Amino acid sequence: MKRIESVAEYKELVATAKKSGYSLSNCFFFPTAIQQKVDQGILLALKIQNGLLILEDMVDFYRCYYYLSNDSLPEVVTLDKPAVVEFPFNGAMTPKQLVQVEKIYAMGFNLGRESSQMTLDVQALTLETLLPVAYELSFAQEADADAILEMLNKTFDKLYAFIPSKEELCRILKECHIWVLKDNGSIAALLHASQQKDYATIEHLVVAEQYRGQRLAAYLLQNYHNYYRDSVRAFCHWVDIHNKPAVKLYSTFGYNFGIKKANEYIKR
Amino acid sequence: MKEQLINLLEDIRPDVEFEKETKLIDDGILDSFDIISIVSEMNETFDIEINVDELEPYNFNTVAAMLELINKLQNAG
Repeated sequence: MKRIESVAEYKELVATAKKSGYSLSNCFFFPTAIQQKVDQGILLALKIQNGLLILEDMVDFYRCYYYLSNDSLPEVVTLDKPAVVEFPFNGAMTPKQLVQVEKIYAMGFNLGRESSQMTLDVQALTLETLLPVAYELSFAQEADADAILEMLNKTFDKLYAFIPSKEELCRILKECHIWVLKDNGSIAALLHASQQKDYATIEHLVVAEQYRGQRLAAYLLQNYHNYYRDSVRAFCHWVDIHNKPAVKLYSTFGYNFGIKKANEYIKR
Repeated sequence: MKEQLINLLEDIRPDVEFEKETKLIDDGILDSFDIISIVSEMNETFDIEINVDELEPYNFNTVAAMLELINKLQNAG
């Protein structure tokens, strides 16, 4: 495995891979993104049988990109930390995409999470009175950062979910909305939302284990709908399709699955 | 082809009015995950292969630029 030191080196590696017939790829960085990753020292190259891997070092794991042969299977790869391949697709996979997945499996990855977007048009939203809850609702403050990070780390697997650093979280707290429900000062539940153009989306929705079963997620979701309903056209969230409580919650509010999907293939 | 491209783009980012935008990349409207989806789908749908040298913001800032890229690659192929 070799650290990539420059954009020119990256381009040379890719050009050589292409010349070798490794045309199946999920590696589509713009030069600025490559430069940024090179400057951070997080871009690595690993030549394997019938392919080239570009690995982005995320400290705890690698985000894995590839150039693979269309005709031959790659070898099983051995890495010094877990790795994930993100594989977005629309609707059902095409034959070409299925070929790529076969090769991802051949490298020793397994299907981790299957996600789909669930969407709800604002017009389909029924205005409901907020459910009564016994806890205090407020926007999270910088002083809550450590508790929020602890909740996110307890709830989500870093391989799948975006878990910000403390610095990133403090920036998010200034720019975005994180609502918290507090029970005597400790966070019982949180909802982190953002807005992209005229769509609202949920980045994280978490209820602490000891507070589950009290409909706190539904309460936060209602509050979020009410907050954004006049400024967006629709609500749009990524959901693990096997997370039954989440799918049930969103379905109750009228959300439907869209065609945008993403699988994450992992190697522990 | 234009309609097909816009449908493809809107499937990926329904919140963006693609025909109005002129700086999809430069203004950060499309993120890296969108780019992976868009390039994959463009390769699939239009039977082209977008190479590393074509992965430049100016090829993806507008629908017109993307169409031009598709045309160029189809004609080259």
